[in-house]
Formats: sequence, structure tokens, C-alpha cells
Amino acid sequence: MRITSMLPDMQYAMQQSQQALATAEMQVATGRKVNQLSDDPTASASMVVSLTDSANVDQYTSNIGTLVPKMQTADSAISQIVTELNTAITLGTQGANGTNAAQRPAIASEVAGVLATVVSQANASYSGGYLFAGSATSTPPFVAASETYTSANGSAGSPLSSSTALTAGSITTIGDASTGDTFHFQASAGDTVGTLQTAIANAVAAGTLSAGTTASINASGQLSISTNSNTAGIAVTTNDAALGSMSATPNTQVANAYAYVGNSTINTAQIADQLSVATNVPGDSLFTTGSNVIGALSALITALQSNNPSITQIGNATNAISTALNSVNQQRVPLDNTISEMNSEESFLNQETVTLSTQQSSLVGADLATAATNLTQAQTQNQAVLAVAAKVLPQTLLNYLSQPSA
Amino acid sequence: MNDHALASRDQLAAAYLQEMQALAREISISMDAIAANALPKLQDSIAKQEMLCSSLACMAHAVSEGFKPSAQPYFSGIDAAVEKRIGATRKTLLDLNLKYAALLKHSGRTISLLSMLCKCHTGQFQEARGPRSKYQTWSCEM
Amino acid sequence: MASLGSVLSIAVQSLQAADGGLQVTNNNIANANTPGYTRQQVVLHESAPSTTGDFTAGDGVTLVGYQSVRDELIQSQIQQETQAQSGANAQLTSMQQIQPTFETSSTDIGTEMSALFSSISSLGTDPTSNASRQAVLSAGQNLATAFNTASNTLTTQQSGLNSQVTDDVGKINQLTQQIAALNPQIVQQNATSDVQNGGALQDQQNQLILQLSALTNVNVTQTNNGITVTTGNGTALVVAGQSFSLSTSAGANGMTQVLDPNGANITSQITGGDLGGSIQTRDQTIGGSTGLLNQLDTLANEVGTAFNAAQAKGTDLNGNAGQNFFTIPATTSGSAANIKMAITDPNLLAASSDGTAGSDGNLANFSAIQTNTLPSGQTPSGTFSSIVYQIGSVTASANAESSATTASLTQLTDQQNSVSGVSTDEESANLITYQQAYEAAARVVSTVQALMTVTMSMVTS
Repeated sequence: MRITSMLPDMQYAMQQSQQALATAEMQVATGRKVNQLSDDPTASASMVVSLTDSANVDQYTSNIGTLVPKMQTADSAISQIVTELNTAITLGTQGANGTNAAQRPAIASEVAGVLATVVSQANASYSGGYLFAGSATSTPPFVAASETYTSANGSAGSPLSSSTALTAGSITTIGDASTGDTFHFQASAGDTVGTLQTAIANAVAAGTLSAGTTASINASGQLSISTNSNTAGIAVTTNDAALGSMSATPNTQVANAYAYVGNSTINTAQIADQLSVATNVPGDSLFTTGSNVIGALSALITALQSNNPSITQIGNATNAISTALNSVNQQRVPLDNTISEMNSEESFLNQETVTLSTQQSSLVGADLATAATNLTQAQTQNQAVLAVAAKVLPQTLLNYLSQPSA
Repeated sequence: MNDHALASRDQLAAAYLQEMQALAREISISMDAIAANALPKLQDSIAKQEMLCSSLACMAHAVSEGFKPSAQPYFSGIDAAVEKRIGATRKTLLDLNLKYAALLKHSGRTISLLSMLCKCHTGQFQEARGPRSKYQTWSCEM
Repeated sequence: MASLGSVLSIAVQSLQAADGGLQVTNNNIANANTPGYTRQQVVLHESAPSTTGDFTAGDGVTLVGYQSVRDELIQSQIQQETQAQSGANAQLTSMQQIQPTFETSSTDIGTEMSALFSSISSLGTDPTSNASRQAVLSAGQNLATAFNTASNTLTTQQSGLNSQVTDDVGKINQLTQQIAALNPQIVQQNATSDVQNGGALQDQQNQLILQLSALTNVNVTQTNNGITVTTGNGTALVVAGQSFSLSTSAGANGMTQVLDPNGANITSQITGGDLGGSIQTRDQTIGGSTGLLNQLDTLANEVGTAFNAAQAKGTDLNGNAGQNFFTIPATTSGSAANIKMAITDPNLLAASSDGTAGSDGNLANFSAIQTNTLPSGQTPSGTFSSIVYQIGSVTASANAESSATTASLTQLTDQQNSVSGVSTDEESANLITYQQAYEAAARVVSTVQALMTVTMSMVTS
């Protein structure tokens, strides 16, 4: 075959070798062998999924990083409480001992101190939120109990009434220091103060609230919630704008009595693809419902302080603290488990990160040693092609015409 | 032909005539070759012409060696037919030579122009960009 | 003996012949790199010999005409490969402009979807944080923007291809007119000369046919009245000296349709060349029920719907049931272009499952969107991954096709040149040798002249 001109072939060869050179250069510069989707569609598609996995792993790791310190703070608060409760049991035992009768007032004071510390720990917060309030983390969950709470809204001139509408979705909470239970009410559309009053009455009947707890409109037109016992008390919170805030009537505070105004909500967070963990232990499960730690301490103080203390009474109160302590220890276990679960998960996630990185590298990354070798080869080849072209293209006989004819 | 020791002028005349006719044929062939762009044929024919010219020139030289200008030409007295044919062939050769010369002159001029054209060319190529066009264009200055 | 006049006429004839030959050479070299120039050979006939006396001499040569050397088969192969190359390139150009939007970056859909789910997961560790809530809404906005951008890239390409369809049809009609105009001229030339394959006009027509092949798939047949060109399904575009035009009409969705000279819609039957590639990319790769745009719209619509459903299951910070997260059109079409955030107030994010402000119980419903399959059958990232694969794969195919046809055309052109092309080198070599030969010949001429003078004195004239 006669070659009319080397040009189309040479140009094609030059183009190919220059393209190979550019690709090799790009791989070394970017460290990637897949720079466009079309370079390797399968790898590109796999990368999408792999990157999603990586992002999740990163988020789980971050979640663990946020949660562990928080839960460790909670755990150490509980640990302190346990210490205090042990102290209280010792004190109670002392107080029950007949020979220490004269010291009972002093012991009572000490137990009061223990109660204050326990409440303070139970109201521990972390990063602006109360740890043991369930999901009502913006206000302290354990509040000193009073006999009566009244609403901010309502006056003689414009009193509240049972037909006053409540704000839909608003929540009103009544903690009972005596029962250790908490009453929650969420208003639906169309609910009125009367609806709330009925609900409270039902809660009393059910035993959630102490017998004799009532809700009524007082002479000043305010909503007044009160209990008729002066050895226990209540604490009330609400976010209903129709009522305004609820505050304790002055001089009705009950000594050494606290009520829980948080809720029972347990929040969860994800720390792995199929694994969510509880991120909080609500205060009621820990300290009031079922094992009324605070109530037991209050009862011990009361027993120690009474004019006619009975050993049995003191003994019973001390036993109640023991029972409560067992309960706290039990409630603590899931928290401890979660913390250690998160720690192991963290090391697993670190491994996962490495695995995914390696996977992504193998999909689209260039092995730098190989890429460098390829680049050298491509350069050599390109130069060879250029050298041949330099020889071939101008070396047509046209050049030889400059020679004079013989 | 190297050996011109000729016993007979007739023999020499006959040989001379043969070579003249061959030369005429070759010139015709050359002209055909040029027209057909058949370079090898042309080269071949020219080579033969050169050989024939040498030969004829040798013979003429040998003849004139001992020739003294006189009233009588060298070949006078040979076979009359042969003499006549030498004369005719001479005229044909002259005619052909004339045409041949004209042809060469014209062609030669064209060739020179063309080779001047190509001599100026230094291989500048422009190619249209993109995957679609692979055509090249080049230009040359005269 | 020929007269001086006839001698001169022979000389002139020969000169003409030689001139023709040299002119051919001259022409060949100047046209060596003209596209489509095919080599012409001088066709010579020897004139009838004349007898001069008893010496017979050739009477010179007469120039009859030019004859082109052409290989019909290679020509049609080149037409076909040109068609394939143009089609592939039309698709490749579009896809290369679409690719970058779907590559991994900080703003592609896959990355933004991940970021949205991450922000939701992060909120779970601190449900009351306003900053975390805002982060979720921002991530949602970024995802909506990513969808909008991707959709825009596709529709912009589609729109460009749509214009290309109209342009190409215009060019096709111009070319068929020109091809038809040449037919009678070529036929006439063939009739008057003794040779078939008329030279320069045929070259010209071949070039036009090649340009036409680059645009669309046509069939070309030789007839006695010139070239006949038909569409892929047989409708005539050029018959003898007449051409028939294609036309366009606005189709559904503004997608220009192509009509044959009889008014029939042949859009889906156009398969080759730039027009075919453009239509295919416009209507099947990007548009159509399995096209990229539909897949993207479906993903946007299903993700949007899922997020809205998750919102509805929970309560926002104001205690109300969650409103829509995204605003999406009622139909799938246009979902990616139009998806946007429906809420901008962080309080409206419905994280709570029990009405309390601090609850994150509803976030699990949002997280589930990532791991559950959408109605179209895959998870969100799986769906996006499929779209990415499709784009990469179509682009890679078009690229390979383009490279292969380019290589093929290079070979075919080489072959064509070896049959009908001009070797500059050969022609130049010829020139030198001719020069040398002529110089030798000129010496012979002088020698002969001298010899004849000598001969004259050897005989009695």
C-alpha cells in the first residue's frame, strides 16, 4: 500500500500518545485513576454507596463522641447518689438504735443534707440540658414541693374559669412528692380548664396524685392546684400560655419534700446501621416511680424528727432507702451497658472507616507507584512518537529538491 | 562499435543506416514515453539513444579520419538505394529531432516551474480541530 | 514526405499531449491535500500512424480526456463510518457536559443526601438544640438545590439538542439540493466524454454525500440519472435533478419532530449521523420513560414524599403535627427542577414523637428513609448510584464508539488515498527524474543535430 502521506496515521498516533500522557499525568496529580464517571462506571456507582456508608460511619462516630461524655456525667451523678444513699442507710441505722435517741435531731439534719445532695445530683445538667428530666430538659426535674401552686394568669377582673380554653398541645405537669408519681396533661384542641380539672380528679382516683389534691379557681381568678397534706407536697409546671406559668404559693413549701416534674421520655440515637441506644434515663425511673428514693429519704427525716419516733418507723424508712438503692443500682445497669457498648462500637467504627477508605481507594484511587511508572512510560512513548513524527513528516523528498540538479 | 576496419564502404554505409533508423525509432519512443508519463521507458530510451549516438559518432569519426575535403563525398559510389535511404532517414531524423526538441523545451520549462514550486514548500500543515475533521490543508509561496 | 505543415502539426499535437500529461501532474500535486481529490490519469490514444515515404513513423499522440480512479466500495464504507462517528460524537458531547454534575463533589446529590441524614442523626443526640435543627433545614435546602442543578443540566442539554435537530434538518435540505443540482451535470459530462466517472464534479458530489452522511442515515445508489438518495426507510430525498425536503414540527413537550417529504413523522427512525445521535440522546438517554430526567424526577419526588410523610408522623416544637418538609409538584415530572424547602423555621421540624419539646422519637422515621427502599425499588443512595452508573456507562460507550470510528476512518482514508490519492513524494520524485532525463535528452538532441550535419556531407543528397 502506497502511503500517500504519513500525516493521518502520524497525527492519529500522536493524538493517542498525548491522550495517554495526559491521563497518566492526571492520575499522578490527583491520586485518582477514575476522574470521570465514564472512566469506570461500575466503580463510580459503587463509590456513591461507599461514600454514603462512610458518611454514616462518620456520623455514628460523632454521635458516640457526643453521647459518651454526657452519659458518663450521668453515671457519675448516679454514683454519687449511691454513695449518699449508703450514708443515709448508715445514718438511719444509727437513728434506729435506741441508744442514740438524743442524737436523732442531729442525724435528721445529716439526712436532710444527704437529701439535698441527692436532689442536687438528680438535677445534674450537661451542656445546658438536665440529664434526668426525660425530654423536659430545659427545667430542673426535681423541684421543692409546696402545698399550693397558682397560675400567673387570672385576676379578679378577668378570672379564669372552667370554660377557659387551653392551648392545644401545651403540657401541664404535676409532680407529687408523696406518691412519687407525676401527672402529665397535654391539651388537645377544644380542651378547657374544666378538662384539666377532670383529668386531675381522675389522677387522684387512680392514685397518681395524693388524695385530696384539687384544682380550682381561687378568689383571685387564678387556677389553684393544691394538696391538703402538709407532709408531702406538689410541684407544678406548665407551658400553656392560657394559664401563664405556675408558681408555688409563698409560705406553702413543704420541708424536705421534692417532686418530679420531668417526664418519662427516653430518647435514642443511632450509633451503628441497625443499632440505636437510649441516651438518657428519666428521673422518675431512677428516683421516684417504683423506688421512691427521694420519698424514702424524706420519710426518714420525718421519722427522725418526730417527737415520738418509733424505732419501727425509722427502721422502715431506712429499709425503704435500701430498697430504693437496689432499684437505683438496677436502673444504672443499662446506662453502664450503653456506655461500654458505645466504647466498643467506637473501635469497630474506626476499623470500618479504614476498611471503607481502602475500598474507595481501590475503586477510584491510583496506586501512586503504579501511576508514577505509567507516567514515565507514557512520557517516553510520547517522546518516541514525536521523534518519529519529526523524522517522518518533514523528511519527504520535497526537502531534497534544494539540491542542484547534476 | 570499436572496430572500424572496414573492408567495404558498403558495409559501413549499411551499418550507419541501421543505427540511424534505430535512433529515429528511439526518439519516437521517447516522445511517447513523455506523453504517457512513463519515466522508466523514457530513461531507457534515452540511454539507447546515447549509445546509438556514440556509435554513429564513432563511425563518422572513423570516416573523417582519413578524409580529405574533396569534391567526392565518402559514401559516393555505394549502392544507390542505400544512399537514398540514408538521405531520407537523415531528413526524418532531423524532423523528429525538431519535434523532440520542442517537446523537451516546453516540458522542461514546466518541470522547472513545478520544482521551483515544490522547493519552496517547507511542510507547514494546518489541521482543523476536533474529532470530526481530519482534512489537512497546506500552502506554498512561489 | 510529410510537409512542413504536417510536421508542425504533429509537433503541436505531441506538445498538446505532453502538456496534458504535465498538466495532470501539475494538477495532481497542487490538489494532493484537497479533500476528496481523486487522482486523474491522462487517457491517451495514439494517433493513427502515417507513412512517410517508406518510413513509418508514429504520428504523435492525441489527448482524449481525464479519467478518475475511484474505489466505490471504500467510498461507501467511509460514508458509513462517518455516519457512526458523527452519531457517537453528538451523544458524547452531550454526555460529557452532563457527567460533572453527577460526579462526587461537595454538592452532588449523593453527598447532600448523606449530609441530610447525618444532620438528622446528629440532632438525635441533642434534640433541643436550635443550631442542630437549623442544620437539618440547611441540609434539606442543599439537597433541593442539588436536585435543581442536576435537573437543569439535563434540560439544558436536551434543549441544546433540540435546536440541533432543527439546524441539522436545515443543513440536510441544503445538501440534498446541491447534490441534486450536480446530478444532471455529471450525467452530461459522462455522456460527452468518452469516460465514465466524471472527475471534479463527481468529487464534489462525493464530498456533499459525505457531509450528508455525517448528518443522518441515508442510502445512496447509482443510477443512469446520477445519484439517488433515500432516507433509511426508503423515502426519496434526491432523484436525478430533483431534491425533496425534510421538515420539522413542534412535538409534545416542545421536542422538535422530523417529518419526511410526505409529512410522515420519521423522528424515531433516524438512527445515524449527528441528527440521529442528537435525537437519540434527547429522546431516550435524557428524555423518555427510562431516561435520566425521569429517573431523577422520580428520586426527587419519592424522597420528598417520604420526608413529608415522616414530618406528618411527629410533632414540632409548637406542639403541632409536622407540616411538609419539601414542596414538590403533584406529578413526578418536574420534581427535580422544582423541589424546594417548605419550612424555614427550625421549630417546625417535627422531631418529637410524644409532643414534648425534648423528644427525638420521630427522628427514627426520618432515618428510616435512608435504609428503606423507595417505591421505585431501591434505597435513595442506591437509586442515585444507578443513575451515576447509567451516565458513566452511556458516556463510556459513546467514547469508545467515537474512538473506534475515528480509527476506522483513518484506515479507510489511507486505503482510499492509496487507490486514488496522489503521492506528493512520488510526484516530486518524478519531477526530478524528468528534469534529469530532459537534460540528457537535450544533449542527445544536440548530438543528433550535429550528426545529421555530418551525415549530410557523407552522401550526395
